[in-house]
Amino acid sequence: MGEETNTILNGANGGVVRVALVYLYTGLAIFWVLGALGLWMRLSHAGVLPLNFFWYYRIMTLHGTGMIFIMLVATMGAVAAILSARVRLSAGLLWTAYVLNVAGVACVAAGTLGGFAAGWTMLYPLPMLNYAAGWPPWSTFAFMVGNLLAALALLAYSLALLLGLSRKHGSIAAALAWPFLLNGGETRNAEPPALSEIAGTALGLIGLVTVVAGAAALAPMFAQAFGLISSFNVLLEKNFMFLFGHTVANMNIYLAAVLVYDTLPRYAGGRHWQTTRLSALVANVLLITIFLPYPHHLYMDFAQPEAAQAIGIIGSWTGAMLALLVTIFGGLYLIYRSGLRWETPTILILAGLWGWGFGGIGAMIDASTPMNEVFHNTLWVVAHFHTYYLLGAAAVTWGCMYYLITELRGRKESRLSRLAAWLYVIGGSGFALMFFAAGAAGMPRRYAVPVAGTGERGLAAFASLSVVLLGLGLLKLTYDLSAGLGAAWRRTKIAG
Amino acid sequence: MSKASIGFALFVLLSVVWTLIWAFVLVRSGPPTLTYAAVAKRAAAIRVWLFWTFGSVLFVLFVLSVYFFPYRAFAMRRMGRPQLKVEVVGKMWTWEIHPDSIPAHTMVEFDVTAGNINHGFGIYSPAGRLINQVQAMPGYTNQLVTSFDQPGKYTVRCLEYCSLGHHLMVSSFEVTPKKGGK
Repeated sequence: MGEETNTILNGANGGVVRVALVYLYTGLAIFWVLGALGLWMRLSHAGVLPLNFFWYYRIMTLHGTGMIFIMLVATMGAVAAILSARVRLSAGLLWTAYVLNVAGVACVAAGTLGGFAAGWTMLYPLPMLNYAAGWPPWSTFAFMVGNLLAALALLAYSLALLLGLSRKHGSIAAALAWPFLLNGGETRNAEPPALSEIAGTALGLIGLVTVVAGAAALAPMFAQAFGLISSFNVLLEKNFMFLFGHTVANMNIYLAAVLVYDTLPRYAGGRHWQTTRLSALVANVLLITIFLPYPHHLYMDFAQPEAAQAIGIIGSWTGAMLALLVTIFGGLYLIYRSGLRWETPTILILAGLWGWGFGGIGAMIDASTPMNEVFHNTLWVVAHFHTYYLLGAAAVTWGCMYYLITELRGRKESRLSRLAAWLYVIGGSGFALMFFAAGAAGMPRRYAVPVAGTGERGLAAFASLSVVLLGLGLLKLTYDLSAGLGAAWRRTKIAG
Repeated sequence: MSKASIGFALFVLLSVVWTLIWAFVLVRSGPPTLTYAAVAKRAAAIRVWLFWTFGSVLFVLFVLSVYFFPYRAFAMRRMGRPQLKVEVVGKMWTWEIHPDSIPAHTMVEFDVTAGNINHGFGIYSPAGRLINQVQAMPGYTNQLVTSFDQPGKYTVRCLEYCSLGHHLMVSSFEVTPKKGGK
């Protein structure tokens, strides 16, 4: 059966767009649930809805792990939908990744609700303590299986990207624009690969390496759970865990960048995000630089080799500078004097670029060792990654989702929808800023109670109010998106 | 002004500048009075300038960061050899700190380790500000070299999540006025 064609549907990608919509709506629905749990934690610190520490730490573990995995699902869905207009992606692999990921989140939920509360980075050997730490062994096992399933989902999705992109361009090297780069910016073909496709290929490869890092982190814990080994090196395991965790989180924002490359130009007077030698080179450099910043999580592990700590600084700052100079700066000059259309997706996508920089400033300060001494494991860290997510990857993903639905259903949004997008941004900013202030005052992260003298109680109250603003904005956007789903779904099935 | 306050002030300042840059571009995003090629040409020049400016600033900051590394060899090069050793062991969910009384203006080395899981040895000043920290890891001894100017009670909090009793893992040590000092 053929489908109608438009900017998203090409007559043959209806199946992929449908699975992408399933990714997006599942992501949005679970984002609401986990977001509400996040708000509960802030309300607890504000003294409004106190959680006992048993539940605080369980909810914290569920909120963190679930958000990392489900936000990735949503962004992966949006990327699949956008790329599928030009790239033949395997719907079978995408469905496989979806089922694995949702099963992974279900296992994580079962494990944490069953008592497991070691935090999403579950530093070895804490998860292995089971009853001694306050949870039954089955809940640890369920949580670890959840992580394993999410890693396998990333493997399936990365393969879907790599197969589709290498088929389109003839090889992985061509999809990475190597002929274009090696020929000094010239190509025998009319056009080099689109920047979104080069970055998509790089992220597919990064996904494969990240899965290996995840396997390296999980294998010793499974081996110990099954009694095959009695212990493992704590520092090495910590390195594996942060290499996996930090890279998964980073992949989310870079996948969001893929969305920006293809979506923002549609609102910027028909300009086209060009593949230049610089942008193609930087997308390739990401293959290395994405793995370098993770040691900044281990600055306070003085036993870590000092060279690794230096690499952590260089990697963190280089990554930030490349993102700023290529993607964010590229977005700024793409819209400059462009006749920009101010629509709901524009507001959210531009907020995503601004928020990436806003969170990046906090991250760069923390990535310097002297500052890390007073910010590490305080709410400052929580501030920077919430900014990256809420005002970075998530904002871009919801903006792109809005674009997809309005295009598919063929109807424009209202002024109220644009107001809702602004509410999301303003609420999100207030929320994140309170985390930064609390972190600067020395409030530890992953703490069931506010510490006196840090001002955390008042800051959490203000943060909660900000979340309410954000929630009101997201509620209106969710209403629009829900109202448009039926028509969008049918559009993908219409015979052409 | 504490290091954390300077960090926060810098963050606010840079965030305001960042937002103003966005405001500048957004108010000029409307009428398409310039072709993309013309904008791209100007942007390329600005990008080169930004690259060298940021690159130079970050290089200087990198050198400073390495100079101020908190690790033992770097700390001793800056501050001299420790005159006192304090043994610290983090256990679920208590701290063992020996001795728990330290003279002010004395180079002290905290030898920090942990019983069976990771903890974080976070030192809060008598005014309640986080002033220093180091991880406590089983199987490793992390050496934190520092000194205290201000006498008083310093609170120790666990800064690495260690399950249900994490927030209860609070202890303290005393910094006493140096004999013959003020």
